[in-house]
Amino acid sequence: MQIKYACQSIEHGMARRQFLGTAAAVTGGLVAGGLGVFSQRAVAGQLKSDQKRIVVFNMHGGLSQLESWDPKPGTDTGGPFLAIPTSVPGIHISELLPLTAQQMHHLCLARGVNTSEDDHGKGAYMMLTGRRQTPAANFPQLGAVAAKSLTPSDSSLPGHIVITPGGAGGRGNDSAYLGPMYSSVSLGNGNPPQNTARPDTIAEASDAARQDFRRKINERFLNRRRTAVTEAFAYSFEQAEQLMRQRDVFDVTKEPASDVERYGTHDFGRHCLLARRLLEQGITFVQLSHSNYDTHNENFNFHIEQMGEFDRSFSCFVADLAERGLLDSTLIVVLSEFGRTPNINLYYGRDHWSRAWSVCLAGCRIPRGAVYGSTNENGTEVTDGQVDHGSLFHTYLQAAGVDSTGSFDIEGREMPIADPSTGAVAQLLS
Amino acid sequence: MYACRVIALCVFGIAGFADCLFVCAEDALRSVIDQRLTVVSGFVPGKCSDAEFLRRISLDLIGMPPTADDARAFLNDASPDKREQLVDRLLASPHYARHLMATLDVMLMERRAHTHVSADEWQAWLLKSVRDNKPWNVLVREILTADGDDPVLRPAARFALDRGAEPNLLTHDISRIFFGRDMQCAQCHDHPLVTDYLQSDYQGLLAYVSPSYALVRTVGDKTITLHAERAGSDLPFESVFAKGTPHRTGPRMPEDVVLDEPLFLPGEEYEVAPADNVKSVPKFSRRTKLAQIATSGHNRAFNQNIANRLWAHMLGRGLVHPVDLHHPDNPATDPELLRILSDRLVAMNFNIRDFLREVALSQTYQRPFDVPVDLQAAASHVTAHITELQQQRPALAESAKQAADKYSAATDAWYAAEAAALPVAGELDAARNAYAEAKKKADEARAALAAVRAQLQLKQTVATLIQEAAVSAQAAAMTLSSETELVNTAMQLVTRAQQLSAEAAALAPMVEEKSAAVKPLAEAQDAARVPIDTAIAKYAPLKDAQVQAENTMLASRRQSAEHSQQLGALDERIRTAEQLAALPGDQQSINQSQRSEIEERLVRHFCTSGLKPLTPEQLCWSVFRVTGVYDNYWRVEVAELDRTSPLTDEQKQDPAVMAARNVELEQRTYDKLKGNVATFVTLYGAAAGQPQGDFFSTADQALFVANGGSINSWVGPSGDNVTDRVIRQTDSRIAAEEIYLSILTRPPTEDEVSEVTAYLADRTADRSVAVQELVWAVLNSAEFRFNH
Repeated sequence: MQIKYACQSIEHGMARRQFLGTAAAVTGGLVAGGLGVFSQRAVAGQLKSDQKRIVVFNMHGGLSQLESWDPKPGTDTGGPFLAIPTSVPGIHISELLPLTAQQMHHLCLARGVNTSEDDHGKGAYMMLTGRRQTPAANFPQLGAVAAKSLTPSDSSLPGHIVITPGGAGGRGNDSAYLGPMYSSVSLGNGNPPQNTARPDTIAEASDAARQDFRRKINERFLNRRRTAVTEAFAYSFEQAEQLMRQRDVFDVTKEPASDVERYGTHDFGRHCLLARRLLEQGITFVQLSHSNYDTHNENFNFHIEQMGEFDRSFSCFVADLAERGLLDSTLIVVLSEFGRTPNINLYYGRDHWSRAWSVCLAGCRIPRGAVYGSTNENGTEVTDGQVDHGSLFHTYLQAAGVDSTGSFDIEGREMPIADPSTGAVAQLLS
Repeated sequence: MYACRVIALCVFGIAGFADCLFVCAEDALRSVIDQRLTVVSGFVPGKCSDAEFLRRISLDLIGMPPTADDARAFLNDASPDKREQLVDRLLASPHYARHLMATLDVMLMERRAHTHVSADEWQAWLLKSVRDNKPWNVLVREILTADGDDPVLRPAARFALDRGAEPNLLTHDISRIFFGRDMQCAQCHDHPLVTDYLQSDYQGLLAYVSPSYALVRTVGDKTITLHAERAGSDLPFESVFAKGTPHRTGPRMPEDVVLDEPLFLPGEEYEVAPADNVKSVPKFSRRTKLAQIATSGHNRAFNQNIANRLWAHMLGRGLVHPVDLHHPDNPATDPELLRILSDRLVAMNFNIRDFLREVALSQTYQRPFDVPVDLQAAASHVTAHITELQQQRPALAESAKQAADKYSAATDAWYAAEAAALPVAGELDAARNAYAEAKKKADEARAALAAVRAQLQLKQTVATLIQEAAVSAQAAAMTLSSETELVNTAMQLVTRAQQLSAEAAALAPMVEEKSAAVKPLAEAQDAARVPIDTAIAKYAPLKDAQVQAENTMLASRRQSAEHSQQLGALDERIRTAEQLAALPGDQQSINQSQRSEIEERLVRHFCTSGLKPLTPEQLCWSVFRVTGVYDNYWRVEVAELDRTSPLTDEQKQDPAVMAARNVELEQRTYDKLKGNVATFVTLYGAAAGQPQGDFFSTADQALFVANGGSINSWVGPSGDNVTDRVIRQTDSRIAAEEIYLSILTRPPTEDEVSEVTAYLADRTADRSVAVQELVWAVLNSAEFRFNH
């Protein structure tokens, strides 16, 4: 009656970690990936060919689909704004996004999103992990999954970056069982990672001298015992030095002033430009957010203002990636924790609405200039092409070339990469 | 040559001598350990140096290395039993309690957020438990039974409360932490990779905890969350791989039979029934039973888990490794040793301190870190053994196969017995449901009758009172007949009394009526007991058969597991032997990967010590110790206490007073510095709720030590710390000794002395900077980052 599986070897039953450890030591490989010392030009050359990247725009608070991707002008729920034609005949989006409308031929709208979760925290968790939150298990966010699946093993840069509106930076708590190697490195208000600048109190020569001495005594110790663990430890210092040398990667002021002007001098514009820079430099995953769309009051005035900022920076970002040939290898996702109610409340606001809203996608295997799914006349329900957080999560990964139906092997436990009870949306993949 | 014989013998000896190896009951545990893991052929195993031992044992027992002065004193001590003295000194120090508390904290809570119990309350309780040397089983009993109502034991309830009292999470973590079995993947089906983890094991454990729940109770303006419990019932389940085959289980612990629990009639399960804001108390508490059975000393899985975890705490890896994957296909390095360790731990009454002491004093713990260079000399010793080992294999493999077949058949029989019992269990459920329904109806009728009776009684009481008043009023009215109002009142009273009597009289038939209504319903309720009794009678033999089949299954499962473990351990030895034999004859041609592979195997066999990364807490306190921060703070507290509560000379002679003083000093120093631990936990610890044992190294750690303010300031000269002493030291040899002894707890080699001398030679102009560079470099070396 016991279910028998193909492989009953002792190795299978034992923890994976020691085997991984041994294997890594044997091949001279590293737990934490290797030391990428290829030049910037080589990176750029390689980028276009095979490495896939993902960028997520998190419209914090819940973007109104009606004032963006799925306008319903002239209906009881439509609000005051019109729908305008885009660069793709037949597709209309809100008049608040005139510049983005001109990039529509690169974009794809999923208008049938239904996530059935109206709580900010839970909704955000679902959209970023592709699963519903349960007390007994915690799941890694898209960035951690992408960093683990897509980052070349010899990359010296972190694979998972989150640009936060403020804060001091540091390591995020978003990788669950994938471990801290894949946790996000936050760039507080777009500043470079913590501690990447040598303090003024320590002279460059002094730092070099102590690092040399550290290497020397390390080497002596490693000659006594060399394991995956000691290699990973020694490597973390090399990686840190690499990161310091490549600190410019995170320095958005190195971008041309004309681009700063084009993207907009506000924080979000700067963050978008930084995201472009990071992706071009080979960072696997970048997440940035635009705050705060939780418009229970004055939804319309607020969206005029916020969408204005977003429209300018986002349209530049999409156009630039397309022009630079990076759209084939970069997946763009614009998501929220949910949409907003079609019903307009007494305070000219819209509340939380997860039953019918939109996500905007572009790049990699995502079809260009397309719309999938639709809502009814006044936008209260999905009528066609319904998708949810789980199927979208599969779709993001498959668009970027990750087999989302596979599993991670976490110390002998198989952890499905994405929720196995659902799968990718075929219509969103070309 | 001497050293390599150690390897040959300790790796291959077990197989040759295992069967004849006799462990004497009176032998100290430490020598039992060595007997099992080495060979008794008059061979003296290698031993680590004093310096190696000092650093190793200090980090393991008190979580930080010794000061340079303490290291010097120990290294210069000529007494033959100085290691034993040291172990006792460390175990008696307040730092031991602190370090074990931190270790148990991380093991039990895995850095989960403090939601219902504050960090201070939790740590204070845990620290006191450790200081009192509370036996492990008592500690766990408190954790498993505490509901958070009793303020003294409320911290113990944190285990459940800060896991949201979520039954599946609790099942998962109780199984991992207290039974050494990570059965998460067995929740919805038999474990896909570990054939020994059955869904029925998971569901059986779940049945113990699923009646428990988080109760939010509000009293006045105070709200408190408790871990309350309801009455439990059988859990139905089915495998997602085999839908349509129903199973059900009562509470069952790993390797144990299903719990035999009393069956109460529906509605009679509680001492205190559940209600809003009320902590329910079932007549039979599964949780209490779980705690009782698990911690009784008779539960093998519970005992082996803690013995293995304490072993891993000292040796860096468990005999079963990882410590939460006990199963037949992941055999202990020496299954027999694990059995002995756990038996002895039980015999010691789960005394953690005594157990750690024995492990620390074993020669196995005191193995040298350096692996002998001359590996292939060992290989020559091996060839003969390979044949011997290989010859043992077929018989063992055959008996393992037979045991597995027997187990498989017993499992089928057990499932068959379950399948036979299930329909009758269903009948019993139906009978109980029908009874509950009948009881509900009868209870409703009883309530209606009681309400009418209460109404009647009220009317009668009032009627009597008014009647009496009417009589008094009439008498008064007769006397004062001119007072019209009084006369009227008397008349009103008479009328009202008559009215009430009439109403009471009218109610009487209603009482009759309701009473009559109760009768058949009560009879129906009584009658509904009959099918229950019938079903129980029918179920009893089937249940007996099921229990019998379960017992047979468990016995054969155990047997099969033992065979399978023996075979696994043998295969592991054969592979090691083959690997050693396959080494090239020329020592120079052994490449790094072959060497690493062999080293890894020697570590697995405890022939050499492995690398133990310092935990975030160990790292923090070790950095404080070697940079002098800790001792500078300590001195401030000494001065403060000497000022505020000075000791008399007589008190200073009293060891008890001095010990208490030390405890106080430790607490005060800890409180001043503890805020820094969080920085290290954030950087070096895994995320909350994730397993904390896996090593990782990230760039942000290296950036923190290189560019962050903390480390750079701590390596600066301050109050007679190592940097300060070295700056003042003109003799570069002594300077080098100072650095290596302070930071790495060992004297430098000649090469290292030369390096330091050369480094400082041309830096007279900025000597202070140069010394800080050296201290920083040694502090951030791999040798410091790991215990070894």
